[in-house]
Formats: sequence, structure tokens, C-alpha cells
Amino acid sequence: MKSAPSSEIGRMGEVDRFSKDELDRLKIISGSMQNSKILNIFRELRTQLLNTNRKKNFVCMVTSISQGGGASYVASNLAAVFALDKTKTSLLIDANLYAPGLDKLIIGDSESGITDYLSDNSLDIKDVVYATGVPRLRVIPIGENREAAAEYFSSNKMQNFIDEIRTRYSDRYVFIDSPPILDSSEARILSEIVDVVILIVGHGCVTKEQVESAVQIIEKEKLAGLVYNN
Amino acid sequence: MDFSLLIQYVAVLIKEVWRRKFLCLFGFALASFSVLFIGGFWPSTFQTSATIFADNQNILKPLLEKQAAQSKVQNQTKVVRDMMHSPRILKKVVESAYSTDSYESAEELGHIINRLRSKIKITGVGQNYIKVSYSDSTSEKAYRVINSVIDVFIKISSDEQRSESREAFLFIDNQVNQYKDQLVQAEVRLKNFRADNFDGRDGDVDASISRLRTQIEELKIDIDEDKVTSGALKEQLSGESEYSSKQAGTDIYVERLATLEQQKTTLLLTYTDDYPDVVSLTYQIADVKKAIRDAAESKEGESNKNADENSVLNPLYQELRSRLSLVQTEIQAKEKRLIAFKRLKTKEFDRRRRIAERGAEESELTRDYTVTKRIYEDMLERKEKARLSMTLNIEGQGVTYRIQEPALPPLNPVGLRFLHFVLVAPFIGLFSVLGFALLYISLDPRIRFASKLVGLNVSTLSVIPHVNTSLTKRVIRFDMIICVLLMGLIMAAYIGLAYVLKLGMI
Repeated sequence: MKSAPSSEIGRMGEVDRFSKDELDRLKIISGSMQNSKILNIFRELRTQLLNTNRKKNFVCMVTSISQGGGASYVASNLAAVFALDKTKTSLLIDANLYAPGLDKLIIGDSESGITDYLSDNSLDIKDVVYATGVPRLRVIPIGENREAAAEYFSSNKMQNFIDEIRTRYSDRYVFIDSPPILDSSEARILSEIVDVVILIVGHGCVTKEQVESAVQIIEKEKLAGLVYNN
Repeated sequence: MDFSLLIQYVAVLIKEVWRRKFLCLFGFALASFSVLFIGGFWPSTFQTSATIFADNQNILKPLLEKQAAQSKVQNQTKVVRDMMHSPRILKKVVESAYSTDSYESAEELGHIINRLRSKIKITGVGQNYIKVSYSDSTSEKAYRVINSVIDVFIKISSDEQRSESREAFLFIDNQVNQYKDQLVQAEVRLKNFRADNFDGRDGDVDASISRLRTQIEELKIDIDEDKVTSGALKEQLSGESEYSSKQAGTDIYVERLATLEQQKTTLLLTYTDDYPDVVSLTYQIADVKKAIRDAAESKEGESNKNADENSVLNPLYQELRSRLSLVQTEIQAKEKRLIAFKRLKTKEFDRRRRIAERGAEESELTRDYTVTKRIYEDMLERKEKARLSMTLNIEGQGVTYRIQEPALPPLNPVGLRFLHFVLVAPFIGLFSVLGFALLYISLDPRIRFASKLVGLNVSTLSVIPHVNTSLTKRVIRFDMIICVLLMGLIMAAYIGLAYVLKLGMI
């Protein structure tokens, strides 16, 4: 089942919701989850990001330093925790060309994604935004046209796309799940066009030197900080 | 180490082990089986020990007391160790405990001796008690070798003791003979010297001179006394006439008459004239009166003949003359004797001078003789002691070392046994796995602790804990069951192998 594209908060309550078990299976936090510790950690992270950006909406890229860092997990849960606030919505863009997986959040099938939108002028933003089982959380999947993703990401269309989704709704927070920054050029390109970057340090995945290298790649003003993922 | 850091380390360790659980199980099995195999072929060690008592008496000590310097009493344990580790004893042990054909070359013998030396442990367990321990691969071998070591050691030390006491005796005997010769020579020299010199010794001459001096002094006093006596006699003699008058005879009768008359008067105061005593006195008075008359008549008749005839020789004069003559004779004799004494004294002085001239030579000879004699007598006494000690040693009574606690055949092996390996191997396997995991965590530069991010030029926003979904929990449970089953299989194989190895050992 294909969900309706996101347009306003009021319409969001109409979609199906994930059950508790589905949320647990997808490792997505929810307000009713038993493990309040993990919920509070993400809430705290949300507060920090809001404080950093003076409570304005932003586009945040979540990238791990190398493979296996858990950027998708952190990005989807960050989006979910923002969506817990009924006054906010969040949009999760799957830009992880090498290990995409956010379409599992979509209830039903997804036909096109971000790469399709960038390569096909006939598609509108609404065509690639899908509702999820989490209230107020929308997802743009990776799509099928991934071969020239680096070029698409560096195109004006991408820039315009980001500007549009940022400015259309002031209560929308955008999170981009990107490939590892040290392993791909796409992540570097994306870091240029986003407002905030969060670096995920996976347990036992990277050395201190690799962390330092990743930190140097990203503009200092955009780097919100590190998140250590066990 | 901080406690929280320790907790973190433990958590990370468990995580890493779980991540590579099958590799860890393989490592555990490998390490455990390796240790078990080593235990299966680990040689058993049987140890036995004996205690020997070291008698601290040195046979030369009482014999050579004050005569020769004593060698310092050494540490008995060190002495025994040096002796037991010496090649001459160990060679005998090899020949007695093994067999003479147990080695083919001197080099091989050297190796066997070195091996024995490293396995024989000698420790002091108190005053003069020495414990000798030996370990070998079998109980029988350990028992045989330690007995051989103790027997050879005691025999050799006993032989040495005997030869020591015999040498001591021969040495003292030789010394006695030498001193005897010296004594005889000294005696001959002294005898010859005395035969050549009659003057006697210093003391004799001194005594003689002293005696002569006393005699001379006494003689001089006697002569002086005699001279005084002679002078007195001469003086008395000059006062006496050579002859005396006859009138002197009547005076006696007159005196007698007066006495008798006084007695008669006294009696008459009490008795009459016819009292017998008065009558007797009357007759006596009459007789005396008659005698006086006769004396007077005879005196008147002779006075006319020759006046010289009236005088007689004075007896006192005669007596004095006689004594004077005697005294003068004695004075002359004593003076002669005085001269003789003085001459003798001079001779004694001459003799003493001669003795003093030869005294040094004589005292040297005497000293030589005395010292030699004293040492000779002393050595003679010691020779008898040495003979006694030697006899005791020959009879085995004076052995320095004896077995206090004999060695027993060891029943159980000491040190690591197969059972120890069986029990310890799983733990070694476990700890080796954990050790390798810890080593891996320590050496791997990848970040496993959020605290490692401190110090970077960027803040850490959050630390997200690991979250297990219900699916992963099920997977973990399944993996755990698999691991437990595998572990059970490994342990079953382990016990089976241990049993097989144990049977193989029997």
C-alpha cells in the first residue's frame, strides 16, 4: 500500500501505525517503550540539537565514520524522537547508497526514492515521500537510480530540494542517513549542503586517527558532535 | 584501576568473546586438549629423602690441642654438599646404582654425573642434621639412588676419617721419635758438660760461701770473747799471790768452835747438861779446842825453822793460771781456723767465678733438655690418645656421619601429576581465551570505550547503549544453546581423552 505524501501535520494521524512488536523488531523508539533509558538518551540528543540550532528546523546528516557504525539506526531513531513531539514532524532521507534500509519503515511498497527524484524531472517531491508506521515521520527511500548518485547529490536540484523541504514547513526536521564519510564521496558532498552533521562512532569500528580524519573533513560549524554507538 | 573502568573492560571482554564465540570455543578446546596432552606425557617425579647426622668432633682437635693451629670448623651442610656433589662420590654412585656399562664414554658419564648433581638436594635442617633429597622418574630408581648416595658418602667419609686418624697417629709418632732423639742428645750434652765441670752449680757455691761467712763471723766473735776472758784472767792473776800462809787453817777451827758453842747455848736453854745432845756438843767443842791448841803449838814450833816453810801454794792462783793458759791456747787455735776459713772463702769465690763463666752454656743445655723433655712427655701422652682414636675409628666407633632418618621408597609422585593437568586444563583453556581476548582488546587500536573520545577537538553528544530486539534475543538464546551443546561435546571429548590417556599411562 502506498501512503500519501506528507503535506501537513493534521493528515498524519490517518496512516497506519506500527505495533509495539514491529517497533521493537525495527529498533525504533516510541513513547510507550519499556526501555526508557534509550528513549531518554535520544530525547537528550534531540534537546542538544535543538539548542545548537536555536530551536529552528534543520537538515541533519547522520553519518558513521566507517562501515557498521550504526548511522541508519541513529538517524531513524533521531527522526522518531523528533516525531514524538506532536508539534514537530520529521523527514528521514535514505542516502545510504551502499546499505540502504529505511524503506522497511514504510508501510507498504515504495516505488521511487531520492535518486529517482534527482534523475527524473517528471517526479515531484510528493512522489518520493512516504508515510511510515511512526506518527509524524516520513521517509524518502534511496530509489532505484543509484549509479550516478554522487553527481545527483552535488547537483543544483539536490540543493533546491534540500532548501525546499527545509523551508516549506518550519516544524519539519530533516535527517539524512548517509554512507560512511571515510568510505564514500557522497557523504562529503552531502555534508556541504546540510545544516548539521552528526558523526557516529561505532563500537570497535574505528581508530582514534580515523575519528580525527572524519572530524577534519566536516566543516567545524556544521559538526554538532560525536555519538558513540555500542 | 578505576572500578567503573574495570566494569567497562569486563563488559567489552564479554562482548568481544561473544562476538567470536565459536572461535573462542575452538581456542578453549585447543588449549585444554593441548594441556591435557602435555599432562599425559608429563614425567612423574618421585622424591625421597634421608637425614644424616654430622658428628662435629674433629679427631685432630683433641690431639693437636695447643700444638698445632686448628682448621676452622666449617658449615657441615656445605661440607656434605661439596662432598656429595664431588665427581668421585657421584662416579661411585653411578657405578653402584646403575651399572658400569650404563655409560660408554667419559662424556656420557659426565652428563650422568651432572644430572645426578642437579637432582640431589642437600639442605641443613638444624644443628648438624642434613637432609638429602633425590627425585627421579620412578619410585624404585629414586630409592636405589638415594641409598647408594648415602652409602657411598658415609663409606668414603668413614675411610677418610680412618685415614685421617691414622695419619694423625703416624704424624705424632714421628714427632715423638724426633723429640726422643733430641732429648737423648740434650741429655748426653748435659752429662758431658757436667762431667767436664766439677765446680758444681751456682746455688752450691752460694750456699758454701754463705756458710763460710757465717762461720768466720762466729769465729771472730769467739776470738773476741776469748780475748776478753784472757784479759780478765790476767788481771785476776795479778791480784793473787802464788803462795798462801798456814794460819789460815786455825781460823777454820775457831769458826767451827763458835758455831758449836752457839748450838750448845741454844740447847742449854731447854735442856740440862746431861742431855745427850749437849754432851755430844761438849765433846765436840773439846775436840775443836784441842785442835786449835795443836795448831797453835805446831805453828809456834815451825816459825823458827824457816819462814818459807810456813807458806803453801795458792789454789786460786793455780786455777786462774790454768784457765788463762787454756784460753790462750783456744785463741791461737781459733785464729788458725779463721785463716783457714778465709782461704776457703777465697777459693769459693774463685769457683763461683768459674761457674758464672760456664753458667750460660750450662743453662742453655739445661733449658734445651727441659723443654725437649716436657714436649716429649706431652707428645708421648698424645701418641697414646691418637692410638686410641685410631683404634676406635678402625672399629667403626668414631664415624663422623651416621644415618639419622633412613630413606623410604616414595609411594606417590611429587609435583605435577596427570590429575592436576586434567583438573587445570579447562581453566587454562578458559583463561587463555580470556587472556587472548584481553590482549586483542588492548592491542587493537579501534575504539571500544566512549572515554577514548575525550580529548578530541569535538564534543561527544551521546553514548547509545546496545539494544537487543526480541529477534536478536531469540538468536542469542539459540546461540547460547548451541554453545552449551558444543561445550558439552568438548568436555565429553575431553573426559574421554583424559580417560584414554590415563589408561595408556597404566
